[in-house]
Amino acid sequence: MPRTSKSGKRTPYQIDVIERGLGVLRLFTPSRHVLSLRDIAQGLHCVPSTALRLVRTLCDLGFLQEMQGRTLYRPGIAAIGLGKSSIVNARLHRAALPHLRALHESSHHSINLDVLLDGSICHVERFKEKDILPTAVRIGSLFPAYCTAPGKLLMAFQSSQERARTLRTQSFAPLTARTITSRTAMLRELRAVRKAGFAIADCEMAEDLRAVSAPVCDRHGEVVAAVTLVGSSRTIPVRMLRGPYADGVREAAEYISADLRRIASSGGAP
Amino acid sequence: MTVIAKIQSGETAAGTSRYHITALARGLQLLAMLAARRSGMTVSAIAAESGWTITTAFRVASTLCHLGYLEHDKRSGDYELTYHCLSLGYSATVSLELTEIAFPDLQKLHDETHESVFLSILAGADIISTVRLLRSERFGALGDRFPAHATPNGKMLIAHLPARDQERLLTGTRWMSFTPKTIVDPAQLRKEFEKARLAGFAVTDDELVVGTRGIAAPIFDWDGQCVAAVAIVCAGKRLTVAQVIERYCGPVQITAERISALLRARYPISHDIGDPPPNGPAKAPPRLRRLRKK
Repeated sequence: MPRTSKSGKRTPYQIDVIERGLGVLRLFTPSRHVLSLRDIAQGLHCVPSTALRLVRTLCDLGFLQEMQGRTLYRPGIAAIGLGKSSIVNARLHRAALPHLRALHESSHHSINLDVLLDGSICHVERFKEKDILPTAVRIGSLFPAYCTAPGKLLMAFQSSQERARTLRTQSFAPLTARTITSRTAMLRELRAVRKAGFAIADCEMAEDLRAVSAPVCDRHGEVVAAVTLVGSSRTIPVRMLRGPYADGVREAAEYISADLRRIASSGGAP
Repeated sequence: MTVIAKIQSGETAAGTSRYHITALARGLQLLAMLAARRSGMTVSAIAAESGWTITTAFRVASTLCHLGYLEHDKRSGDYELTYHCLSLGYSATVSLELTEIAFPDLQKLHDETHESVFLSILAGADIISTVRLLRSERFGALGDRFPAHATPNGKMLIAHLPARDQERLLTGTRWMSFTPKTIVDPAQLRKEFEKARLAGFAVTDDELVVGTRGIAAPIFDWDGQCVAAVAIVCAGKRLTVAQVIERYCGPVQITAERISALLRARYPISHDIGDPPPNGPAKAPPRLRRLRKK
């Protein structure tokens, strides 16, 4: 998560202005995808004239798009292209694709690759099995961490400091009868996840969804992503989830981790 | 509000310079440069492509690194984008539907032209409008069906159907006549659609209601498929067809192109849209096959 500058000795002005400028883009969310100049100024805690200068620069370079006589703004084409490239260009993505596809073909269930972004789970790849998820779930869309298998998995393997920060951002809203709704219960769950090496979500986000996630490690051995198998609770009994499906996602995750190490040691793209 | 209004009125068409922040612009330029290629860049590559000095390139790159948007690979010296770039507007817009994506541009078109604006999709031989921004005129209710051959958006949508589907629709539909000017002869309609496809816009003149003229342009998705059409329709004999084309052809086409560009920017994103897998065709590792049993 981007933070405020602490080693700002060298170029404090640059860091500050770039952080603030990009902070404008961070204000947009799926429920607030169009913002006024006033919204932006309020979100950044600055005066409208400062916000306007940032906004004008973002507009000039296509990262923001202005509408209706410059009172309303939304992310521009450059911002969307940037997000797309950051997914496709990532080493992780390239290393993961063949293994995700293999797991999808052998299991006939939806397979996701997820990362943790500012306390939310973000799908960075998805092999979809038809008619399981009725809602349109797209690559790049965000989900809460506390009620999903990849969320619990990635939190479990965070450092205790980062985990505390992530947990503060969770709403713990009870989405189903089985959702974990307290911090204490979540900490207990995360300890169990760390011990098992995989995470299970049994109808915790939606009544009929079950999922199992396993960790992908980068070349330094740090957990960077989760491979997740998702399916309907009608077709996946919990015992399958803990048995062969857990083995399947762990195996795929290990293959991906091994490929990430291999790419790193060969010193570049595969 | 007054402060905002003051700033905005004070700032006329000043162009890019007056409010431009160089440091931010450089950061954005670097992000855009990296987004345009499939690999990372070293400091000297960044300097070469941007025209900055090595020192500037290093400062901009390390600032973005520090903020988490770039990652520095010490082995190759490359700076690469991280997933944190997704929070810079991408995740906020990715799950929006066509209507939501298109709405701001349609609103802008409506504000600029003060005419009724429609976003329509094809349903058989009819069109359904998913967005309507009306002038004071009445055009039925949202979701009402209108005959495609008598509306500009309908003509545009049929014009971009795959040849076989268009032919099936042309010959298999009883085209109704609403005014003396409605085109109902399949051969003539075929010509009309061809004309619209080549021109990049479609017009109607008194074809559904006497005195109503309209113009439409196509919206394409990443696949090159025409998924919707934007139209301006003016009632009440205010404008002749020539005037409609002269005034609104440009704005309607620009709006359609902007919406198409937004759709294109979101896709294709991955494997199932044509990119060959980078590591060669994937084979399931043999041990995984046991999952198939149940």
